[in-house]
Amino acid sequence: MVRNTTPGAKAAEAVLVILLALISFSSLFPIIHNLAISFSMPAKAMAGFVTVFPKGFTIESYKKLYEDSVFFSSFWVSVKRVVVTCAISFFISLLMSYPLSRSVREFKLRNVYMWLLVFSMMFNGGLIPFYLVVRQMHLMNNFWVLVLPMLVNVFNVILIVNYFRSIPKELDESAAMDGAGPWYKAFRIYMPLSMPVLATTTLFLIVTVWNEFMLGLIFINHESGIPLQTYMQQLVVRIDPTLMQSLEDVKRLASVSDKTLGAAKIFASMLPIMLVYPFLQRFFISGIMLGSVKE
Amino acid sequence: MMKRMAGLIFVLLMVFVSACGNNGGNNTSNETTGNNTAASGNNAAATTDNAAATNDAAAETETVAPADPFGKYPELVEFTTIRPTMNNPKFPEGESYEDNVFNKFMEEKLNVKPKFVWMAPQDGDAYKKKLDLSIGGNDIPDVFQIVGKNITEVQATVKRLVEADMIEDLTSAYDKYASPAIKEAFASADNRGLDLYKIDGKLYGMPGQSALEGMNFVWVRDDWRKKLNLPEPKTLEDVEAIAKAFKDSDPAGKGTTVPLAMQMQTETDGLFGPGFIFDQFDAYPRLFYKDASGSVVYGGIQPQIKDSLKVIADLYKNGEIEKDFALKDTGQLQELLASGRAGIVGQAWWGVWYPLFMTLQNVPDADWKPYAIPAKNGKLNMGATNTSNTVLVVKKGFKYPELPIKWLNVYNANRDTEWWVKTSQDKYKDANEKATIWSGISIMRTDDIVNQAKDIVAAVNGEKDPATLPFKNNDAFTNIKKFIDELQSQPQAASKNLLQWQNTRSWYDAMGSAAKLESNVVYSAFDGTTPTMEKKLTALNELQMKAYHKIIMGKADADQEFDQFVSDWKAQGGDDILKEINEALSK
Repeated sequence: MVRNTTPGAKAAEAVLVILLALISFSSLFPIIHNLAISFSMPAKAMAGFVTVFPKGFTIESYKKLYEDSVFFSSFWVSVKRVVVTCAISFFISLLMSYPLSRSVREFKLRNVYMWLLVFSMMFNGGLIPFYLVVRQMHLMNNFWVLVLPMLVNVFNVILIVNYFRSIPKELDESAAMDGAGPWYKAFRIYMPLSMPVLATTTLFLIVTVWNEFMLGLIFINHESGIPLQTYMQQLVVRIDPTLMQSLEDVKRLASVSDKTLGAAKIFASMLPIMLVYPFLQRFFISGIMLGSVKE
Repeated sequence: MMKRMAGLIFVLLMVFVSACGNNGGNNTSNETTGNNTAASGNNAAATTDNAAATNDAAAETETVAPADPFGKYPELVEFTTIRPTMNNPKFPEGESYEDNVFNKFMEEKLNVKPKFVWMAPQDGDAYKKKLDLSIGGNDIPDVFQIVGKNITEVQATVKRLVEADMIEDLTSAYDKYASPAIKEAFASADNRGLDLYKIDGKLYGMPGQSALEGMNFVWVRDDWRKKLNLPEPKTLEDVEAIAKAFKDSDPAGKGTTVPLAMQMQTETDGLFGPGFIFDQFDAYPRLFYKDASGSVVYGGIQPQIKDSLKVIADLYKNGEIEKDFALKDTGQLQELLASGRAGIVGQAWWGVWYPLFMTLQNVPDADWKPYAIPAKNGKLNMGATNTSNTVLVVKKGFKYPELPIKWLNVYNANRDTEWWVKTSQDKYKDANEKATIWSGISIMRTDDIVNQAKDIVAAVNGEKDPATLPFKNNDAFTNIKKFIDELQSQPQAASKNLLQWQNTRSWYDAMGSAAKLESNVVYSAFDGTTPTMEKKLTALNELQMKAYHKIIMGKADADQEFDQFVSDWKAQGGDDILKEINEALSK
């Protein structure tokens, strides 16, 4: 690599480094702050004394978290949901993308299907019709209601389609000459070559599915079936003390408004994504196709 | 006027109901009822007697079952319902929301059994969202509770249900089956609670009612006050003097003391707001109430407001209120209070339970004490809106529309008994939401809390035999007695004996002193929403906040700014709102 060493370039580089440092600090700080709160004494946290380091260090909130059975059951629901959704979605997206990446000559209705997909990305039926559909299909209170609506992510499909189209035609043609049919091509040629984009879309999907809470909120009626983020959402929603009407309400508020326990839960719920991310990021390597075709 | 109308309607309904009740009977009975109804024009009271008599006669012939508010159903009645829940409740082994001692108790008493179609947490929006969807999908259970952020929201839902003909008219069920205690509780507030859920004179829901406990107290850091040798505040001037002393001596150190912690971002007199100052001047900035002439006025534009604002402006000028008070929200105020920098704050009687106890965890020497400051008229002024933001309704066509009413009869009659208190404190100790595992809505007399406090104080002072206290107050009594007799003279008494201190400060000091004063309750005259309110009230409230902020911060001449605000408020829709309210009330 050739480095530009003029003073102007050096200054620009310094500015860039500072800028990037600031940006990464602003992403890291909330996490560190949250971690510090989770290890602090509740009263200190409420008084706003905690910034980067815990005040009155205690692991009390993690002990309480350990006793919280719903946290773990919903954690398991979320993990199951992410694994199932991503596996099925990977397969379905691939099956959708391959035909859609063909030219109109090969697949006449391609543009029609494409428009339908884009249309569904921009418009939807609204919440109540959606609710009625789910009820009619007897999906209420069913694990699959958390999975099925998330399976087809049009945005991801479009990404994959575009990636397929960037794969040199010559590869496709030579495979066809060797006698490969569409199934063989899709799974043996296109899929391995598209690992970077598939990893990216899977990562997108993991994060989306992990963070999605509305479906669990609306369609799951028992606590043992809700996903983690639905459970978390209920904790993080701010309770408005002005709505307190009686001493009972107030005592209740005092017992649930545990900022440190909330912080511990948030941190614990972030962990899986934080662990998965670096491993998948490995796939963001371009140049996989370097050397496959010489033009 | 309203009261008399309601009374008349009530009597007419009684006649109507008893007449209807007898229609199913034999011919002779039908004839007597007809005669009675004819007589009703002459003397309503006599008719009621007669109606009661025919009812008795009907009961003898067994054509109509007598309406017993606590009557047990002959066969087990299962009904579907839904309920708001708490996060992560810890039930005793083998029990759940569906299967617990409270539901068994109800089954024993009434032979009824709830089946929960779904449950959702009450905090946040989950319950309401799900309910809206159920209503939208026409998929409602037999009996359910509607909740909302405020009355308007609940009323709107009820109205929607009535218009869609989805819920049952409960008027006659209420008249026949509501227990005397419940009727009396609603009557203690002139049936305001019920009126909120009447549409065209028909009652569509059973609302809850809480006691009046929203008096504003001045909470003072008593350790600071004692250190500075200041007398206990008895008037507003005393409070101002204490604020000034806190400013001058800076007890928190390094100039961080906030003599008077106050929040006034979007609410004129909300939590941590300057409500106690407005009370001093008989001013109620967000209340539509009836003035001496009987017509409805808006509290926010009355001249007393100007006097109150001038007092706050003085405090602001002296630096006793934070410069950015207008930007602080409730969360920031909690932070300020927990940090131990605040000297005085206006809050309700339960302030020590939340969030003032946090100060003690950070500053072990601290002590908060509430003071009820009577106004110039010697009374404790208090503006009261109806706070019943929940209501129980019945699905149209449900066979037992009186069931929820009977449920509430039993619920409210047993909620404070020894059985209940013991069960919830022993067996359900860890269910962190004791009070709410048992589904129900409490309906209290308006003076309930004050009366409880009176009895507790009398018992602690030895003027009353503690054994006569209701069981639920025993805890408070023992804790207070201990704190007053033994603990309070010890160093760091408050932070080392949090529970005793909290009970003492709330029941004994706050409510106890309020009970000693005569109170002057100014009720809101109108709790609903008019068309202009829907369109313009938000903007008007903003206008009001802006004007108040300007006056307090001394950015404009108080008199001129206030007059300008009053005429703006009237011109921008306020007058229309008042007209609509007066029209609605004269109907």
